[in-house]
Amino acid sequence: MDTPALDTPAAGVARLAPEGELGIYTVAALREAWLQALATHEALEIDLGRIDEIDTAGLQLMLMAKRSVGRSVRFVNHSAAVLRLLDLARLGGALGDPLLEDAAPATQEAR
Amino acid sequence: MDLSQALATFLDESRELLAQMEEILLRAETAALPTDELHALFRCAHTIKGSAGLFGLDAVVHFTHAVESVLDRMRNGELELSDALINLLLESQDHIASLVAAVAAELPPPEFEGAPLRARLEAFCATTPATPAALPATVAGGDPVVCSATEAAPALEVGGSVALGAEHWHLSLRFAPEVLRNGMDPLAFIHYLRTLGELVHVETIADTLPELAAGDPENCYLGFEIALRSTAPRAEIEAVFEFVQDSARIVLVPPAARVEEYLALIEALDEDPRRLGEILVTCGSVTARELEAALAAQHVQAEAPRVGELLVEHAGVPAQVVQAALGKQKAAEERRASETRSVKVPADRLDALIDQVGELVIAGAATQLQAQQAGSRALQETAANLLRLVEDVRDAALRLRMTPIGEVFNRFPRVVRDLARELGKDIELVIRGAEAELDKSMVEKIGDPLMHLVRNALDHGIESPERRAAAGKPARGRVELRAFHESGSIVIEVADDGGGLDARRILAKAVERGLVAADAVLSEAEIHRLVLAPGFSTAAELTSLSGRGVGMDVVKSSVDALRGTLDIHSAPGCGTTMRLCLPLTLAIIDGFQVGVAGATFILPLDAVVECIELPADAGAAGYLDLRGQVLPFLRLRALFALEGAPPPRQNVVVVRFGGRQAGIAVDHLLGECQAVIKPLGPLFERVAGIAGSTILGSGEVALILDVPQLVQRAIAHEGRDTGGAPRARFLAA
Repeated sequence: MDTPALDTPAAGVARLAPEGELGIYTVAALREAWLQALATHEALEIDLGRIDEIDTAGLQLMLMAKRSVGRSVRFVNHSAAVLRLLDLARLGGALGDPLLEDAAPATQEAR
Repeated sequence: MDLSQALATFLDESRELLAQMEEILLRAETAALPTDELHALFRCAHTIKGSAGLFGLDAVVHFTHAVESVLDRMRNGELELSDALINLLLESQDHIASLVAAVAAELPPPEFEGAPLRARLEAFCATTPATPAALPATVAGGDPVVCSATEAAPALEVGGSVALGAEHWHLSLRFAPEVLRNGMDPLAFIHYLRTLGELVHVETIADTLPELAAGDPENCYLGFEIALRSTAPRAEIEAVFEFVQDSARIVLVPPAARVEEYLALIEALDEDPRRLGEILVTCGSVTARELEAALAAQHVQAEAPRVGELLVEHAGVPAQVVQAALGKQKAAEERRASETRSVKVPADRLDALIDQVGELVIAGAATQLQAQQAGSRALQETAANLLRLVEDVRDAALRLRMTPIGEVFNRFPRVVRDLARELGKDIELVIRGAEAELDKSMVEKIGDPLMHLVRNALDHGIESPERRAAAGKPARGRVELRAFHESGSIVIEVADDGGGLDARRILAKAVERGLVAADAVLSEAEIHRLVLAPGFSTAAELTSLSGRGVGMDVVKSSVDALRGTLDIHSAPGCGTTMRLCLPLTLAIIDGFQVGVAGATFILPLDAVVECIELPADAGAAGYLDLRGQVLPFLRLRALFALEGAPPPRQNVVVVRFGGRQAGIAVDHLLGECQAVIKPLGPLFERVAGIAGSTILGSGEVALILDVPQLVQRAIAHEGRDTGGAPRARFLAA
């Protein structure tokens, strides 16, 4: 599992772009990485463009991240797999940030 | 899902849990219980209460609640487990069992014992009076059971019956924390629901979801409320969740349900009812006005106060909810672990399978016979191969019905404990070989005879502590239950280390009762067998337990009915052993064919030791010299009065039973075969020496010989020829 931390300390926003699976086998490691990033940053932006598999555990992790007290976590560049699941769970509103917030600093629009 | 099916599951589960409680409590008598067993004890009561609540079995819920409160104090270390308390808990466990039995029999609960027991239980937890009003919250925290909202709360059928217009199914899903780790993906199930219809709405319930830093992402915190427009039947929708049903609470509300069903759904979930109400509205299952009106109506209705109470009381009690969830999770885990190891199959399906296999065996034998007659090598080889496979299938099929004898033995620790107390004796029960297996149908039938033997051993076998002390024996008596396999049979022994049978008294009593002539000369073993005669009792005083002069003969006849035998070994001062020998199965055996006067007979192969030639100088019956050993034998031709002259050279099949051997003289030895045992008609079933019949490959009928009877008969003959004195009749045909 590769979770490169792309530090941008000036803006206080950490950017992560996990790859591959966002699911039961990876959530524990991803949670560690996200918590680490949040320990030193005010905000976390997670690029989901390279997630090609997601399950209930992954979705739940996204929801948990959103609940981080005193921190802001946003998801950008949702991959097709992620969008499909958000659509199924009707969570586009809660987790599909760029679809609602046009002021998103994401580099890409969601596909 | 059918209510009766869910109820059957509840009954099964309750019986298992009660047995577990009993086992733990009995162990508590000899050694202090470790903490995990105290917890297990509590969980048993808790699970029974929770499940009973789901079925609205108030009597069970209320009584079990009192037990649970005591157990709760025990596991918290507030209450010492004293002898008196163990007794009380055992009695309470019995009472729960009788309540559950009443449910099974559809009878009203036997309340008379309940009240005093409850009062005694409550005395143990004076600080926590069991108020029924406090119950519903914990009831809802019961085990996850798949059932519809209507089934869960049949009490809510009264009044206020507003039919709602929703045209879709409403599904409420809550998962146990471990489902994700167990490889199940709730959203995948929901995705699959799309194949059954249209997902009108999905609401993800994340109310208990912790924040990132606080939660374990591998636990499932999510629940779902789903509106599904589908024409699929209930069973089909339920089947989608088949794999998670043990670790999830799944409630289905059908289209156009009445508002009570939604209220029951709200009640069944440990969540804020207002929030759930809103979700139902969001899903379009209920309109806001309908819900409001229904809740108001329920609130003023005296008949169904539970929902109202819940609404008032239930808003926000997370601590309790969390605790209930933890208990639930653990119980579900344990249950799944035991469930994955076994499958429940209705007994009649197994019987049908065995019947079919029996026919297969006969057909296979016929094929082999044809192949032999046709003389084709290739065909013979194929037929032999086929027959071998059929045999394997037969063995496997028979094994399916095999159950460990321990199932019967398990009830005895409690029986022995209670009886020993009643009799004022100190008795230890030792169980060996509980894993020995026998046919399920035998297991069911052997319980009562065994019970009688054990009671006898306790009551008559073991002496009073004073007499034991006088005889220099340890004060603590010992009764042993043993089971093991021996040559195709299962042997079950009930042994005590008591005074043994008093041969003189038995004989005197038998003479007095006219069972034997006053001048009869009987061997020790024959005298012992007299206790099996109808109307015999040796105990000087009658007790309530056994020894009213009925019993041993009943035991004997029920053992006979199972084609078994009952032997008595007794040594004065050292104890008595009752030895039951039963066939493993009543269905199919490996047989050895013999021919006499053109007819074919079958001996169970397991009983055959060897075959020898009948010496020309042997008498009509009596004994042979087998390598220096005396071998009693009998002639089948004479026994069954078969006509025709014997061939010049006859054979003797040496058979063995119960440690004794005997010879059976026959005309021809015909070799091995498989025999599917067919019962004899009522006309023939009491014919001595015949155990059953079977159909041979050629289509002929052959009789199966009853080796135990033949062996005993041969031995009796031997005695008669040498002793010449009048004997007690052996065959009571």
